[in-house]
Amino acid sequence: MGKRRVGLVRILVGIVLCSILAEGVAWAQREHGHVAPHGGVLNVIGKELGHIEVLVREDRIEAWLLGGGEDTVRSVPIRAAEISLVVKIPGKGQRKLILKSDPLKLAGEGPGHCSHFVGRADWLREVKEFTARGKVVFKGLPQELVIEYPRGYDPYHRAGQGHH
Amino acid sequence: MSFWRIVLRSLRQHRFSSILAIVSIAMGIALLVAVYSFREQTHHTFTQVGLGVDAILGPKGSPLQIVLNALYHLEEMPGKIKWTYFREVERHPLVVQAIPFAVGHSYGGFRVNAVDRRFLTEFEYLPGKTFSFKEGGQGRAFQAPDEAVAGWVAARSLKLQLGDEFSPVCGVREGDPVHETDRLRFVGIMAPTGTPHDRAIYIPLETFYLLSGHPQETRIMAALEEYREISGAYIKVKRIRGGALHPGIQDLKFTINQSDRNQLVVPNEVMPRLFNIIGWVDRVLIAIAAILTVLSALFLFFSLLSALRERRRDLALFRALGATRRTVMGLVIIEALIISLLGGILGLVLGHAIIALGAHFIKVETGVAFTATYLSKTDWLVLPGATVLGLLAGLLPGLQAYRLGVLKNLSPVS
Repeated sequence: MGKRRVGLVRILVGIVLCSILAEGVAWAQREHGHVAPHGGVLNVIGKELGHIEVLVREDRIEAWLLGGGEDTVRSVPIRAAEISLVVKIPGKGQRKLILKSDPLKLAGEGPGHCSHFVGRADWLREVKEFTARGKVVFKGLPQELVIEYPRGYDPYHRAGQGHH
Repeated sequence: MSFWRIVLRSLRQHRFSSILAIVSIAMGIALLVAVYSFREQTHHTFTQVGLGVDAILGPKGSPLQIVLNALYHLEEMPGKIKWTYFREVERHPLVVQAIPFAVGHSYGGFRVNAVDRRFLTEFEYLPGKTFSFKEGGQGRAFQAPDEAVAGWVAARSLKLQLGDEFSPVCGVREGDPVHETDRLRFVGIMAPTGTPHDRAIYIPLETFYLLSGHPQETRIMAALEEYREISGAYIKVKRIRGGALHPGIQDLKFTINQSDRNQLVVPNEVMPRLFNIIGWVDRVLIAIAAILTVLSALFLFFSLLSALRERRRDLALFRALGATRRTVMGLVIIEALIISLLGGILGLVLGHAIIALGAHFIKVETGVAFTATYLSKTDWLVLPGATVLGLLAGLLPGLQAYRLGVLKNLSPVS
């Protein structure tokens, strides 16, 4: 009887230790996700040099330039006053879209030092999916911008696993 | 002799082991009840209520440190922010109320926070509740720079009366210098709120800059806004339908957090993270309580088995007098049920007594109010759980009683 009791206690202690370990692993995994800070779609810039987060609401498109990896929550201001995009819409051809700088004043941004860009176009209301390309100087390096909406552009991770 | 009288007599006969089983079950259940109650109440206090603050505008540093300092009067603020920046945030269309404060002083072990007067008159620390100087409080809010008000716990602990004067300590550590030439007078004692706000002393914001011991640059801050600094500000943002926070708070937080010196901290996001980090503590406590309860059930099982061995002859005699197998089995199981239910009831009482005792110490230390009358989910499960426990513990001894051979056990034992 005594041995059986000791065995039971060991099993229970084992369960407790396993649950603590499992919780620790889950916590560690939670710390390594990329989350779009504004609930938009993340698109990788360069070799994960940074991201451009895109959010489309009716005829308005907003874009935030963000850091890469763990720095996805940090904005990366650039010097440009606007970003010019060529937008390919499946079955509807190409359109040109200009995103104008809209500095985040509370972040200390201003003209020529901006991470937030906004554009408007009536045709955005009808569009559910598009690919946009443009060019920016990001972190001092000329980079090609690729935006895949709403999937997200991320060539360095498995296909179909866009950044969201 | 009736069935119930036999059960009671049997319990009386083995009263020592029965009481021991009841107490051990009660201890396990009491621990479970107390841990769950504290956990639920803590989560409610630190995550649901938010102490009336949707967000805290503060300096760069640990968000948890900022929440603990600004709302719970613990820790220290990691720095200061510019008044001009606070004014910019205050003008943001999403912000409905912004109350600046400056921390870093203390008196008699309680924090002395310099705060905008609107904190005492307009700020809702709970939905629809502003600070009151009636119903347990006295006096009024401060108006002049040399006036102060005390939270209820601070006033009671320091035995403060209206008209009493004090000199604030410049710092929150023992041995920090005292502003001896500055005498502030208590003009109000706030009614109890059951929140950490009860544990602080409040002085006008402008007084912070005018205290004589402060350097010249701090005194200049009183006159010139461009140089003025504050520790932070309590922020209330617009609500949407259903009273939920406006989702734009995330954009506002992101933007402010990009600035070099400032950040916006949302207490309702920070505190659950704290619970995620320290959550294993209460899980371990719950596991210990569960193990204790299971061990006490095992103890009950073994004591029933040993009692059964002692009573084999009595039970055989009982059977010979006409009792059915089921009746004999029922005797053992009912005995187990009575013990476990008594353990459950005692556990509930003990558990709430532990909460009452713990609540007193927690309130003294942190100002956070817990109540022993709070019923957690566990409370509702204790008696059904104790019934199942009793059934499980009594089942095997009951079956043994059921199978008891009459002739074999009627023969003399020795």
